[in-house]
Amino acid sequence: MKKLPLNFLGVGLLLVVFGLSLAQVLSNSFNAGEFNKFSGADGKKIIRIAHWQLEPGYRVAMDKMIASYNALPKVKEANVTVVQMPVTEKVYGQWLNVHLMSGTAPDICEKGFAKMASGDYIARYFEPMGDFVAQPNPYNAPEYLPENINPELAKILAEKPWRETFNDGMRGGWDDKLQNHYAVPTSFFGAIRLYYNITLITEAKQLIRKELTKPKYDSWMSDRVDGGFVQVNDGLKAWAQTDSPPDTLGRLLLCSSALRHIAKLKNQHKLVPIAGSSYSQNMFADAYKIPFTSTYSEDLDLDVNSTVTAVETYAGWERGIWGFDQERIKAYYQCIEEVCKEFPPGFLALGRDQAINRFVLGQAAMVASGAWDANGIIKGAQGHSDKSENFEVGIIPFPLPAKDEKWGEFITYPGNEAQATAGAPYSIFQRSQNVDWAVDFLRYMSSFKVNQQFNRDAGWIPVIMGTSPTDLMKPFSPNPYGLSKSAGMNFFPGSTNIRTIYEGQLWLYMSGDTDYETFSQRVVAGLENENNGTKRLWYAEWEKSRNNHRNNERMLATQKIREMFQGDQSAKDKFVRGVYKVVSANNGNGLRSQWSQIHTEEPFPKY
Amino acid sequence: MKPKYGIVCLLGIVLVSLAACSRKAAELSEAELNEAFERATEELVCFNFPVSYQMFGELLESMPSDHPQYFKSLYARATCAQHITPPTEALSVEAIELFQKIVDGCPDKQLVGRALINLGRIAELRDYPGDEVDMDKARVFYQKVIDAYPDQELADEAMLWNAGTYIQVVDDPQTIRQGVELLEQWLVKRPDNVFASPMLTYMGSTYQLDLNEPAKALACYIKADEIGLPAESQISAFYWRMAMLAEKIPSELDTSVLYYQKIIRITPTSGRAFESQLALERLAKANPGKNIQVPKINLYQIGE
Repeated sequence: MKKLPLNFLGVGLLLVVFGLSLAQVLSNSFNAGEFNKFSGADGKKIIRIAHWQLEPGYRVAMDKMIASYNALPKVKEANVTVVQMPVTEKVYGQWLNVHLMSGTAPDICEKGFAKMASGDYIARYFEPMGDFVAQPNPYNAPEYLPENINPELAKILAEKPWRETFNDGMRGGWDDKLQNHYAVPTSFFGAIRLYYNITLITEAKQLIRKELTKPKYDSWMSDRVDGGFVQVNDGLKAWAQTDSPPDTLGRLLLCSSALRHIAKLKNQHKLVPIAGSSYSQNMFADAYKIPFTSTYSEDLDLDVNSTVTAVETYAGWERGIWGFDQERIKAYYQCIEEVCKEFPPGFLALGRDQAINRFVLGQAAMVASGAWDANGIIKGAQGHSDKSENFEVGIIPFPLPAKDEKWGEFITYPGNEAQATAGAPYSIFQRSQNVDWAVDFLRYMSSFKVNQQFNRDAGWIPVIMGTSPTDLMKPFSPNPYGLSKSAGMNFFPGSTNIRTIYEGQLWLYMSGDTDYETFSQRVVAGLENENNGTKRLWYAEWEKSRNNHRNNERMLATQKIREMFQGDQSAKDKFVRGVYKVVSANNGNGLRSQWSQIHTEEPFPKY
Repeated sequence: MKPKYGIVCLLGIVLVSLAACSRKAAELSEAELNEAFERATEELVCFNFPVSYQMFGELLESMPSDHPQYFKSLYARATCAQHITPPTEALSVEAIELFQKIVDGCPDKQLVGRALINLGRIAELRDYPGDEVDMDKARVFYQKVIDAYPDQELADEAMLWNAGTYIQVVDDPQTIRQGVELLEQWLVKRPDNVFASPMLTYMGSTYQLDLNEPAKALACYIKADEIGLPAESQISAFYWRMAMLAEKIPSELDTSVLYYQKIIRITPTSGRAFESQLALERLAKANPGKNIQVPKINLYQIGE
């Protein structure tokens, strides 16, 4: 028998693989109508829209919306077809970077994750939308609006510029550095809320009701009462008689204790009050930060710009405005610690999926997350193979300590959610052959009727004025009641070792591995460190600020060239505003002035 | 074929290609030159500085110095050299030389003024590691523009940059005040200039944060707001500043009320609307005769 020519086998394989790749490329090109250009026939145009939203419902809703767009007479006539390209968020950034650089990116891309979709690269790769968003959205014309719509709203939608038909004024698509709109936001992500298992909370409340009738409470109850977490009064008794969920932190902690007692009685070792995880632990810390620490904000905001930065926060510590030994600060951390005690053991090793799974399996009474998990949670809670294990889900904001409860004297107001901007922003690839159709599709996607239906189908919150979400999503709508979140203390600087120390020690403290004394001593030692403490933070932030302002000069240069060489009149106004932004930053020297006002005898640090 | 013949062939092909390229560049028609100029400009405005730098370089090689686009191309190439990242000393020096060439020989006086401002910016900023900031040199360039174009926007802009070189000085209130005075005097001379609002807002924050003169700061902010505040995305932050400043000045109660109300009505999504309501309630309680209204927050127009 003749020997198999192995050398040719390799070449053969290579040719086969090459042939297959070529066939795939030709097939894609054929589908995209690229060959029709040569034959002179009307080309089929494929508009690709890429995103990373793989949450249940989103792709189906997108398919439905795309089908309705593809069926429009003018779209069919133009031989245009829109197709979606869902890509997992784990690789979306790299995937988009490669395609943007190679010129093969989809016509429409969800903006995020990719480095090439941030900073100055945005102007290099994406279409500026300023001219488009200044025009009315044709899909909001009267013939596209519902018949019973408020006439005043109909007029706004039909006649106002596209950007003004968004609930957030299209801030979610605005790039402040580049002074233009580079994306069209399509959904609100909604605020973070607490999901609760109505069956388990009802069970806990029954136990509380029963316990309240006793002359002497069991230890699970007496610990909460004696510790001052709740006051046994008429208010508590009245609440216990109802089906209402916990409306104060004390009542939430009381329910948690009752649930732990139930778990013990029923021998349900896996049952915990809150399905905490590394994903949600900061949600609690954030929710309680403003109510506990808002009183410091005015003194901390050195440049009075309504945003407290990390360097302003730690400058406040240097100035003695706040400290880890102050009762208010202690109370804040102890509150978080107390909540974390209701999480499962080792919660920092658990991720988002594990926490959600625990909740839908009925092994936790509460879990914190946003609107994007609502569909999955509700379906999971109702989708047990044993129907008797199904349960109803309620949604509440994070309850605060009441005035007569432990820490109540430190509480001001919650942080408001008014600054929420619309998300899921889509940008148009600058080198797309079909920019006009891509714009048309985004107009369609963000028109009154379509945006409302799409988001209802996806289980998200629509972004256009006058639209409304499904009832399920209403609890996630932004709440204007409360204080500005950006004016809250910022413990997490983007640079220096302080972030590592603070975050690491906070995690150890929240997981119960260290006590408050140890936590605060270690953080203070980190802040006082000559090489990596607050002094380094001042220097690093000054450097960063100086570089950022130098980068803003590039924006000025491009606007001036637009104005001078391309006759773009809108660039003139942007240039004037840009000059203000750059000059008023004083080349980052504002930080040095603040340093010298605080450290009168000490020169600015240098590394 | 022997390898040496192959190498000779390859070199031949390379040489022929290079010759063809150079011939092509030298023979660009007027329309091709203009098209190349537009393409290079488009790369520049898309922040693609290295590519644009290269393209303008090639264009300048084939463009006669009396071509109408010559100095514009020179300016664009200099701008790219100024902004390419990572910045280097060589690029910075090249940018300076090119801008200076425009100053020395360009018949378009507007472009000369722009080149002078760019030279000022290069002197004022740290462009590459180890670059020395030279405020005095920057001021000389800005002053040249102010003197040469006293009634034009170029001078307004140069004045703002010039004042900035004084205001940014740390720990020297006298120098800071000198910068503010420059702007005040300029606004007397040219009150309606296009940079008036940035000038007033800048003066306002300098009075507030560096010179501790809240009444003057408030007066500047109010004038800037009448023209239109320059930082569109930060309007609510300025309204908040103004309302709080005014609340601390007894004679400015009405101003304080006005700006708290503006926050609620004009910027309800700023995050400060609820606090403005609290402030108005506090002011209404303290001044019962004033009939202070507390508007409702209409955050979003959510449907039923």
